[in-house]
Amino acid sequence: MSFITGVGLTSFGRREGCSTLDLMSMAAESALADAGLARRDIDGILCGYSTVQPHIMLATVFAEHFGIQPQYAHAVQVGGGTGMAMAMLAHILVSSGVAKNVLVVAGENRLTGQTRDAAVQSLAQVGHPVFEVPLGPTIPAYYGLVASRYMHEHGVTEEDFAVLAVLMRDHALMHPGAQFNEPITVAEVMASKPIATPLKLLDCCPVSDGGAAFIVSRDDASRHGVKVIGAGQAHTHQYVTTAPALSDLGAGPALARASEQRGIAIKNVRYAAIYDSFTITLAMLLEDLGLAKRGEASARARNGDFGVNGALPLNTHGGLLSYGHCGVGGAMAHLVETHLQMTGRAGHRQVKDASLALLHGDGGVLSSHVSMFLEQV
Amino acid sequence: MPDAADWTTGKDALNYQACRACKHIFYIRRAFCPQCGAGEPETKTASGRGVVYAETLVHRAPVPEAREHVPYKIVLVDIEEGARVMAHGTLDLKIGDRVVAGYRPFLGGLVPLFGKI
Repeated sequence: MSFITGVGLTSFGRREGCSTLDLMSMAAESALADAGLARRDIDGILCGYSTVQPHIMLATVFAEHFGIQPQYAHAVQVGGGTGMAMAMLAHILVSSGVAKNVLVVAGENRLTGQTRDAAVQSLAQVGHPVFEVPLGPTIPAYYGLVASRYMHEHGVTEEDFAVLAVLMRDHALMHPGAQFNEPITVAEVMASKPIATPLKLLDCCPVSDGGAAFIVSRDDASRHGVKVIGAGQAHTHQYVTTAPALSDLGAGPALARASEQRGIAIKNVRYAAIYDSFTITLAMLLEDLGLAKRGEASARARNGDFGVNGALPLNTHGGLLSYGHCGVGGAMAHLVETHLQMTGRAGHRQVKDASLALLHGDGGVLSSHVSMFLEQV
Repeated sequence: MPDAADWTTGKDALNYQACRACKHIFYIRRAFCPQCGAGEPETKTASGRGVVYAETLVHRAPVPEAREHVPYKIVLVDIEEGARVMAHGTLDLKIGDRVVAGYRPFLGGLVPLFGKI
């Protein structure tokens, strides 16, 4: 058994002068304070990676910098799925008695720590170095390929994708930490500059600076812990060239593995935190996870179902698309927001009922999937 | 490793591999079959014919040297021998089009360029 007992999140966007370690430290300090714990209470540290500060031992670099001598520490790398994979591992470590309080932390000055060209170029390396990268693809191109096929098989349209971008922006407008604070319309998404068809600028998450952290504990001394009640993964491929058919991607299997421990029915989920690197990612994952019928994610969004007052509030902080994406910390912001919602601390974004939440992250090009269920105590 | 001379080494050809044990067909070259583990898969040269599985038109280049080429089309093609490959395509390509591979220089190397049959 484990509880998430504290969360910390910086604002995302331009954080001039902040290093990777600065952003990690800010988020970690907030999470500790939220959990009511001191540095000496932390006996495990998991951290992500930073593309602008690559290091073979980032967890101990951070531990020394922050002032912790943990019994257990290392970095984890699953691309965009890293945050949820760390949450799952922290849950396993705590449940098995290896550690009492695991600090999970990530941060990166991905926006101001390098040029935009460097960011685009380094991320494209997720593709195959011999059979893909020489063709000049980008991450949006990999997802553009998937999107073209998804539209072809399921009849969804670019407007359908645009609706999800608008939804995430609407949510970000309610969060002072979000990178974007100007409203957008479907027409503006449709008119935004093409990046890799069918994806346009506003279908794509931004590059951000930011940090996020949370603490997974054996005992809930914070009195606002939420319980981890299931987690599962699936890894079907690395490269989009070798991906299985759309119907055989990993979201469903990861969800099934997360559900089976407690026999959780998807219809009982009250809050959803779903990885949204691109609008296509969000549409596909919502449908693969059964949170919308096939081809109907946008119909549910149009119906208001995913809004703060809807039947299934989704990414109420604005998601990667509009809160921002600083690398590993990007998807951890989803978990931080989920925790705030489940503990009644989301302010004017507070939803009525977040008693059972489903979180899902993916890394690569829908390559690695992690699902997790959280329950109110 | 088997003879690997194809577009990835600058030759105008597209290779794939076939497992001698389980008959699995695959594209990304290695010294064993990723399905059954058997060694020494056979390297074969594809006919170059296939069908477009997915396509995207890249407007934002990943590196400055690629900017002069935008927009360029990247496609996934199911070649008739049974593997899926990533390649360039002519700008008019749509999913389901029957295509054949040609080759063109790109960023200092040679890349397959599929066009309609």
